[in-house]
Amino acid sequence: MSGYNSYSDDELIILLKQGDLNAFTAIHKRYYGVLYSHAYKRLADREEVKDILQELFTCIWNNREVINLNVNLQAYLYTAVRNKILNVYKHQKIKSDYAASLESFLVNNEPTPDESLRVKELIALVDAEVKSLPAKMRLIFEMSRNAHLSHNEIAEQLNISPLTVKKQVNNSLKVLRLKLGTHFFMIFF
Amino acid sequence: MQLKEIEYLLEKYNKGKATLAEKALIESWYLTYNNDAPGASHQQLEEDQEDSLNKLLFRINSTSKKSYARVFAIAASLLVFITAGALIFMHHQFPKQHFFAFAKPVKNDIAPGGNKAILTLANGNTLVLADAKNGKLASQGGVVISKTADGQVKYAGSSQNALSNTLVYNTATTPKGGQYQFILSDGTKVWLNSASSIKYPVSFIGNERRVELSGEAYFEVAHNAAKPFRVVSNGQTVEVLGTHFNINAYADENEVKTTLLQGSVKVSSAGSSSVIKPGEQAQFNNGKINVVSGVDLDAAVAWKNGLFYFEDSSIQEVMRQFARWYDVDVKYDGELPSRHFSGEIPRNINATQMLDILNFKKIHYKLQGKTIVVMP
Repeated sequence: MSGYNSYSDDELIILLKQGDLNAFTAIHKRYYGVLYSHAYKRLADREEVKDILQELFTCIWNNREVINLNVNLQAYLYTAVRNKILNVYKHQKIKSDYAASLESFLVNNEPTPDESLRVKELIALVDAEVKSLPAKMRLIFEMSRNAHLSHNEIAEQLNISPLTVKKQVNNSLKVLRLKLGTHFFMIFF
Repeated sequence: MQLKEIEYLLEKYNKGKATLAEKALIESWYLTYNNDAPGASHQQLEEDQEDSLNKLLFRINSTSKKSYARVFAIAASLLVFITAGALIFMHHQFPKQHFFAFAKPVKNDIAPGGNKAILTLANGNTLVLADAKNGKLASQGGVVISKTADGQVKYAGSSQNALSNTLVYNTATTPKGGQYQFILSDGTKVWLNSASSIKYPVSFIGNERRVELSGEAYFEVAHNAAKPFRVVSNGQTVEVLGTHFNINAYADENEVKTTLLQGSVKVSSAGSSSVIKPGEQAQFNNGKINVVSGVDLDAAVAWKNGLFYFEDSSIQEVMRQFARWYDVDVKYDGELPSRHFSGEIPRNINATQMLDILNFKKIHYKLQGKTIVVMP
């Protein structure tokens, strides 16, 4: 299972489309935290947040074969949650709060006209929620982002000694050198 | 901007009808709104994440039969639980707290049903079968009634030993939350579901084997071409020579459903009759018999195998089964969504665990003593 945590989003999507439940689980583990955190701040209603995320993940599994995720998994998930939240707003009884906010935004700000730029901003916004996650969830998310943690940081998060981390990193570097060795020669000599 | 205009704008947006400028406005504003609001606690987040994943995996496991092989790898542990649960359930001993790791214990929870029944003998005496010890229970008209090591009640002895030619009847009744298995004197096996009752002669004298059923039972009738086996329920008679079938004749269900697994049976009422083949179901309602083919047999006898099995069932259908098994009353509050449920749920979990699974599908509930209030 842990192997899946280091797969890229694109790799997970390919596996998901083949019906791989491990890939589905990995997507859930990778994104549930940031999505939850993001949605909770905006809805402040635990049940509502759970419901919209459950709907989203159920929909992903049910439509795994036909879903068009070519865009990018993050963009897909984050915009889907945004749209669900906006839908909740529409149905909410107490509207004054967000209505006032929207009105003041209209007066004081300029909307970003470029859609792809807005999606980029949304991705950055949701990704930033990683800071508020419990350590284990944070690590899973960061592993997938290829975050360059120091040996000490990794050791601290995984609760193992920095020496062990160093050894494992060196081992994998050795393997990499062996694999890449011949190519290096071809390129440089 | 008026509140109404904003509402209208959101409505347009949600329907995908907003102009590019309106879309830009809403999406840009969204990025700024409530970003500094307080977040959820780590504990809550971890709980909800685990709960969410468990529910998803459980649902996938129970509904995607086609990709079973693939699903099996990851859901192996769940499957083992379910299988073990169903098997052990049949032997009515099960440590409930091990079943669902994700379900939290709830105060005043309602335990699932179990092997319970009351046997009324010909002389009017009653025996509580759950409490009875194994071994001989009674003797009726030369037939010995005993409780076997697996907790079934068995009638043994031949009609030749009977003292007279008059039929001597026993009645077995299961309460809500009970079920029981019987072996009649001809070797026919009967599984009686909860809130059901069956009346049968202790020994089948004469040229037919006739029993009366209310509620639901599954029959494995011992073959005897010379003596047809007849089940009478709600004005319908099912006639067989030897076969496996299920009859659902609850008074609160719309129709009497007879589902055939093996052999052939004749379903008849005052006006008409139909012969059904394996995989077919006779639906008897208002004196009319309607035969449906291609019925899901697993669904019809799931109860006997320790499962609730729903296929495109309404919430009312689900809750009727629920009420019978957990011995509760169900009330509805508010307008319920007309959604339908599919999937299987083991019968040996507590009421709130079962309700939690339904809760996931946007049905909410309140427990008030022995009454469950279902809300949208």
